[in-house]
Amino acid sequence: MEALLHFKNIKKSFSGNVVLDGVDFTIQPGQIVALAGENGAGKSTLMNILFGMDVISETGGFEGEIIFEGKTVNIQSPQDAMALGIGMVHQEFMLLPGFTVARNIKLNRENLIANPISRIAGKGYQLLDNPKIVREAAGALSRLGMEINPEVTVDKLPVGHMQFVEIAREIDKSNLKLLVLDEPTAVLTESEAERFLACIRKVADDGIAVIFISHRLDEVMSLADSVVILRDGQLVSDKKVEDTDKHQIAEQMVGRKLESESMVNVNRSFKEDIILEIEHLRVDMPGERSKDISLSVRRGEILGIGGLAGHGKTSISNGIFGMYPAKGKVSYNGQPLHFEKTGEALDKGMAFVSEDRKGVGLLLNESIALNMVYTDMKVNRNFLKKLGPFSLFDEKSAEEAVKEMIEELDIRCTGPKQLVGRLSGGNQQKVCMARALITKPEILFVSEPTRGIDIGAKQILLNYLVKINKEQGITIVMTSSELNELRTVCDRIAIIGSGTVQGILPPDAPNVDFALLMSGEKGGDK
Amino acid sequence: MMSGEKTNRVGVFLKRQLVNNAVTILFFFICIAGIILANQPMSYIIGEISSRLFRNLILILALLVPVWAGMGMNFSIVLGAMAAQIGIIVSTNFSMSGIACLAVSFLVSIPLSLVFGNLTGRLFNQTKGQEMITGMILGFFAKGIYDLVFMFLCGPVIPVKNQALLLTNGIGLTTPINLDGATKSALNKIWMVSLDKAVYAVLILFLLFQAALFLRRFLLKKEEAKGKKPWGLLIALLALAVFHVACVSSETFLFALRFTDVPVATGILIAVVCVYITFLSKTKLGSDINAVGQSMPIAVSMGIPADKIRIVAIMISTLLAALGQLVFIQDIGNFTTYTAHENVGTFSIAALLVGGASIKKANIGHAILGALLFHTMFIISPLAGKNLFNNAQLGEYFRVFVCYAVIAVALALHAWKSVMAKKISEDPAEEEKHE
Repeated sequence: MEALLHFKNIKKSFSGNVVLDGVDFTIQPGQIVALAGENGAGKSTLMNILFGMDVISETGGFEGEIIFEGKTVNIQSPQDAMALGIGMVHQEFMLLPGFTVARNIKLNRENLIANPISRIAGKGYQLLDNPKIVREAAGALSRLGMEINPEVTVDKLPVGHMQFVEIAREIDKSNLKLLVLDEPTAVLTESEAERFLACIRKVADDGIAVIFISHRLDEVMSLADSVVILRDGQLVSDKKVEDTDKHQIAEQMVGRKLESESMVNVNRSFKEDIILEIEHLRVDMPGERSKDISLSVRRGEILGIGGLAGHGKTSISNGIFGMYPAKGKVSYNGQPLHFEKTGEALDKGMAFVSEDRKGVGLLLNESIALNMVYTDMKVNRNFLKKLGPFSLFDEKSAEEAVKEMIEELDIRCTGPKQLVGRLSGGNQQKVCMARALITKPEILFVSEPTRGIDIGAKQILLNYLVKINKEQGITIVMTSSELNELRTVCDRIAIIGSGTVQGILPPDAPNVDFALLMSGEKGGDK
Repeated sequence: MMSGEKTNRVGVFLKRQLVNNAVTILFFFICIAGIILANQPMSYIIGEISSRLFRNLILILALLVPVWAGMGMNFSIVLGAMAAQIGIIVSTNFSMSGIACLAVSFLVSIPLSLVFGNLTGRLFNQTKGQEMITGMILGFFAKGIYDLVFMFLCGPVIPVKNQALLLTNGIGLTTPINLDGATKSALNKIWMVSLDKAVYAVLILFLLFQAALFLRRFLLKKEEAKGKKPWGLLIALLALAVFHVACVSSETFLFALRFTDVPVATGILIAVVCVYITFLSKTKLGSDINAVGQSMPIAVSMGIPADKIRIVAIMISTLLAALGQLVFIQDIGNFTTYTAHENVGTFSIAALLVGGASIKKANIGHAILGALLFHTMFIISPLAGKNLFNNAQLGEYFRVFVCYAVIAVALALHAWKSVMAKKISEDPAEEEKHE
C-alpha cells in the first residue's frame, strides 16, 4: 500500500544547533503512529515542519522532503496543510469560550445562506444557517460517539469535553486524511482519557491516519499501531507496538547512559534536619499547573526537581516565591511561610533564580552592578546610604561586592557598569545567580539554570552550584528539564508528573526508572 | 440541604447581578434622586429626554461593533463626526438646503469616514491591546489636522465659494456654522407624531411582530419549538397593557406624552441602524468579528483574517458615527466648527457604559438604556444643583465631572469584575476537573 505520508530524511538546525538529524518514517492511511521522545527531542520541530509554521521558514527552512500521497509537497503555512487534509489538535484548547460547541466546530466553515443584501454588499453579509450548523456539528460529535449538546457555549462545558469538540472540528472537515494530536490526554481524567482513546480508534477506523504525541506510555501501548521514538533529533526506533514494550520505549527515550563518576553527589548522608517542608501545594501557574505537591528538603542537600514540560515542576518554586496564586502549606525552618505574599520568601532568607531570565530575572536596561545588588538592597537593605528620610543607592559599597562576584563567576563583561541586556545568555544567567547569592541565602531555588546557554557556561554554573553547596552549606533546590544535568549535581531527584510528585530517586538510579516515573508510571509496577 | 443550596444559589445570582450592573444601578438612583430634586414638570423632562434620545442614539450605537471585535470603546468615532462635519461644510459651501443638503453631506461623509476608519483600523492593528488610548490620542491628532485645514487652509489654499462660511479676513471658517432654516431639523420635520401615539404604534408593531413569530412557529410545528413558551408574545402584551393603564390612569403622564413630539423619520433611521446591527450579528462577517473579539490567535489559526476583520469593524463604526453626527447636527441646527466633535467620543462612551455595557460586551439594549439614563442625568443635574444649592454652576460642574467619572469607574469595575470572576471560578472549576 502507498504510504499516506513519508518524512524523508528530514534535517533541521537552529543557528547551528541540530534539532532534527535525518528523521525518516512513513504513515499509512488509518494507522496510528505514536511519536515519543523527551522534551527537546525534536517532536514539535517535526510537527512545525509538517504544518509549515513560520518558525521554520524564518530560521532557514529544512532539508529533506515531505511526501504526501506520493507527491512531494511544499507546505508554507498551516492553511496549506489544512488544504492537503492535515489537521491538528493542539495541546492548549483552540476554542472560543463564548461560542457554542456547534459554532466552534464549524468555525470559519459555517454553512451560509445567501440573501439580497449579501448579493450587493458581499459574501460577508451571508446569514449563518444555524440549524444546519447545529445538525452537522451534532453529526460530527456522534461520529465520535459523544453526547454533547452542540448548542451549549464552550465556557459552560467541562474541561474534559473540550478535547472532543476539537476532534469533532477536525473530522468534520470532509478532506481530513491525517490528524495530529499533541499530548491530547494531558488535561483529561482517566475515564475521559479512555473514552478519548476509543474516539481516536474510531477516527482511525474511518481511514484517517493519526500521529499521536504522548508521554503516557500506557496509552501509547494500547492505542498506537507503531511507535516512533526520537532522541536528540535522531530517529532511534520505529517499531510495531507488538515488537516492543513500555520499558524498552522508556529506555530508548532517555537513551544515553551517564557515567557514574560524573555524578558528584551520590550517597552523601544527611541528618533528618528538614529546612523546608512543602505539604499539598497547589500552584495555579498557566501551562505548568501543579495539583498536590508534598516534598521535604533536608538542610545542606541539593534536591533536583525534574519532569516533563507542562506537568508542573516549575510551578513549585514560583508558588513558594509568590509569583502565582498557590494553596497549601509550606514551612521554613519549622515556621509557616506565607507564600501568597510576594516577597515573603525573599525576606525570610530564601533566594530564587527564575527560569524566566528576561521577564522577571533581570532589568535588562540596567547595569550589572544594580542587577546584582537589587534584591539585597530590597531585602537586607545593604548598599544603601541614608539621606534624611530617603535611602539612596550607594554605588561605592556595591562595587566591591559586584567585582568579587564578576570574578568568582567568570562573567565576561566590560565592567560593573555594563548594561545586562548586552551580555550573552550565559553571562546573564550568571548575573541572576550572583543576584541571588549576594543576599546570602540559606536556601537557593534555581530554575532551569542552563536553559539557552552554551556548554562552557553550563559547566561553570553547575560546578559553582556544587561549590557553594559544599563550602557555604547553602541548600539548593534545582528545577530542570534536563535530567542528566540534575543527576550530575543532585543528591536526590523528585520527578513531577501530572502535577504531583511521582517519586524521588537517587541520581544513580537506572535510566528506565526515571523514564517510567516521567511518563506517569508509578515505580511500583516494575 | 437542597433548599439551602438553592437559596445560596439565588443569593449568588443576585450578588452577581448587582456586581455586574453596579454602574447602571448607581445611575438609576442618581437619576431618580435628580428628578425629585429638580422638581420640574413631567412634560419638560420627558420632552427633553426624548429629543436627546433621538439626537444621540446613533452615535452610541456606532460604538457596538468594535466592542464585539474586542477593540474596546472606539474613541476614534471622533473621526466619523469630523467626516460628517466636513460633509456639511461641503454642502453648505454649495449653498444647498433642506433634505438635499443632508443627503449630500452624508454622501460626502461616506467615503471620508470609510477612509478614516480604514486608516484608524490599520493603526489599531499596529497597537493591539491599546486601541482605546490609541483612539483617544488619534482623536486629538486628527483634531490638529482638521483645525489646520479649516482654520488656515480654507480660504488661502482651498477655495471657498460661500463667503458666508469664511471669517471676515478670508482665512479660516467661521464658527459656529449655522444650517439654514430649511435644513435645520429637516429630517425631524418630515413627520412629527406625539409621543403617546408613537409609543402605542411601536408597542402594537412589536406585538404584531411577536404574534407573527408565534404563528409561524405554530404553523411550522417544529420539534424544538414545541417546548418553548411564547415569552415574546406575553411580554409584548404586558408592555402594551401597562402602557395603556399608565396613560389612562395618570392625567399628567398622558399630558406629558401628548406635549412631546417625536421625529418619526429619525426614529425609522435609528430603527434601520438597529436592524442593520442585529442583522450583522447574524452574518458570517458578524460571526468573524465576534470570533476575533474572543481570541485573535484562535481566529487566525482557523483562517479568519483577523486584521482585515478589525479594520472592517472600525470602518463600520466610523461610518455609523458620521451618520450619527449628521443626525445630531441637523437636530441642533448648528455646530461649533472646531469643537463640535470633541466630546462625541467621551459622551457616547460614558452613555454606553452607564447602560451596563463593558469594554467586552455591549448590545443595543445597553445603548438605549444608557442613552436614557445618561441624558436624564445631563438634563437634571444643573436643575437639581440649582434647587439644592441655589447654584446651577454646581450641577453643570457635576455633569461634566460625572461623565469622566463614569468612564473611569466603569473601566475600574470591569477590571475588578474580571479579577472577581477569576477568583470565583478558580476553586469549583478545579475541583470539578479533578474529581
